[in-house]
Amino acid sequence: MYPLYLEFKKLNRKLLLFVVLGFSSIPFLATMLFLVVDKASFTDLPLSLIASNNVGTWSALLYPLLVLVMVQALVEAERKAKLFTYGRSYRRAWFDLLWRKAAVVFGLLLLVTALNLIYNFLLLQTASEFMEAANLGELQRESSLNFIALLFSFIPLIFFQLMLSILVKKTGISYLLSILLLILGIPIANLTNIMVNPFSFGIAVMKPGVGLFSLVPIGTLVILISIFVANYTLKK
Amino acid sequence: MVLENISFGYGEKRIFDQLNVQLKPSNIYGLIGPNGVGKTTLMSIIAGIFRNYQGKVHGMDSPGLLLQDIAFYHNLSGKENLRLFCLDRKIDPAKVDSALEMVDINPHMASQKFSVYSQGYKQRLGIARSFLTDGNLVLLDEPFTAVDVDTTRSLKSAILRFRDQTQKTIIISSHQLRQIEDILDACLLLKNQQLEEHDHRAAASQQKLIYLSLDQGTDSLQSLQQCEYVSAIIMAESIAEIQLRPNASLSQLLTWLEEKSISWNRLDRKMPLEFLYTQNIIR
Repeated sequence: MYPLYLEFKKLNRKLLLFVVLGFSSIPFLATMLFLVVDKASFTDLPLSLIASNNVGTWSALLYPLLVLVMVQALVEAERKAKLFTYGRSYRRAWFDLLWRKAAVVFGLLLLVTALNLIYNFLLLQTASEFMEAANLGELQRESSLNFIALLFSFIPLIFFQLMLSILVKKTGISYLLSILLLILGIPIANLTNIMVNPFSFGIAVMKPGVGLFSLVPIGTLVILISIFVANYTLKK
Repeated sequence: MVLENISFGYGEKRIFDQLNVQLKPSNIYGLIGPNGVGKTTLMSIIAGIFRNYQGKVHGMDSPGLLLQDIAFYHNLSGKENLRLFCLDRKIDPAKVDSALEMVDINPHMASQKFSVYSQGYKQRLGIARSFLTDGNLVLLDEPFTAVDVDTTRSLKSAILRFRDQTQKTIIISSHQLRQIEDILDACLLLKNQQLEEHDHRAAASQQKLIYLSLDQGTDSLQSLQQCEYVSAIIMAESIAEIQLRPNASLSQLLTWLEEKSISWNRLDRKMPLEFLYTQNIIR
């Protein structure tokens, strides 16, 4: 556990705070504010509208952005410390480092997801007081499961982004490429059933007829290829 | 520890051509040569950072390494940085304390974040990391860059202590020749894509040979050539290698210099690296 603790510690505390709050509490507070300020517009509308919109933002945008920011920060910490240079003198493989980095990002995703589950519960509970919900309990369960499915659907993206950040040494270009893939992925995933872009796996999970388990083969392939390419790049 | 027929280049530019050298255990070597000759490249080859070279590297596995522009994780303390390094290299983390002690980083400083370290402490930590190795070789690239005189002295004594305790071989690459020459056992001169070993201390055994760093080069040389106590002079920039006559003494020469108002600023009985460098590289 000690190496994993140090992996976390390598990151800037302000960045961690920004990630945890910026990707959970702030969107929640903003949504709550809209609901309260514009309560009249939402009154008697189906509560499922809020539930699906809330999860939708996460599936398409916020989780991929979170992964992108965290992975870039982790890789930048290594670049600044010149590990990729020093490490070459004694490392023959980089798998353990890649796993550790992935574990850190997944740990943060897990934390943000836990906060989101709580916030989503509170949001639906609050909105149910003036919106229509046939079965609030069922809606709560369903949207919680969606958040958990999203968490797992982005595991391949963690490895893919790690590979991309290692391959592309310039941070700005790496960000640009990732954002391009993220933006391009949204219409493709929405309009087709082509699921190869790990940035869109969150959208795919939410699509009727696709789901988390159908992403396992392609997700596994993305993880394996990403690890192989990242390891090869670092060894080269 | 042997480098055998090492050839390496960047694209069309050849850096080493069939370079050979054999290192002795427990020796401290100075790796010297002008900028761009390939000192850091050679260290990177030995360290295993560059692998696309021709030839063979024997017996230099897993060397300790200090590169220029020292870098560590800014948010980790000095001690945490070294512990993480040990965990990565499967080295016993218990060695960290003694490595820190060797370079005079006290427990309080070791617990501070690397981001608050001064240049001197960064160098100390970098050298401490290079000491944490299971290999029989330590490579130090410009270990005394941008550090004050006290820190340099302290680091030099740490290097000597480390060598004496571990019997490991150390290669130091530096442009500050005067700062490293007193701790070296031998010198590795990089020129013409080759490495030459020089024992710059051998001259010390010749009692009548001295090295005088003169204030005015050419004028002083002409005067010295007429000196009755001198049998031969070789000049390299402002340093004169002076062979005294068998019946002459050093004090006689110094008195003569005083009388002739020839000023000098340093006298060595051992060959200064600067002299070796000037003779072999600049000429």
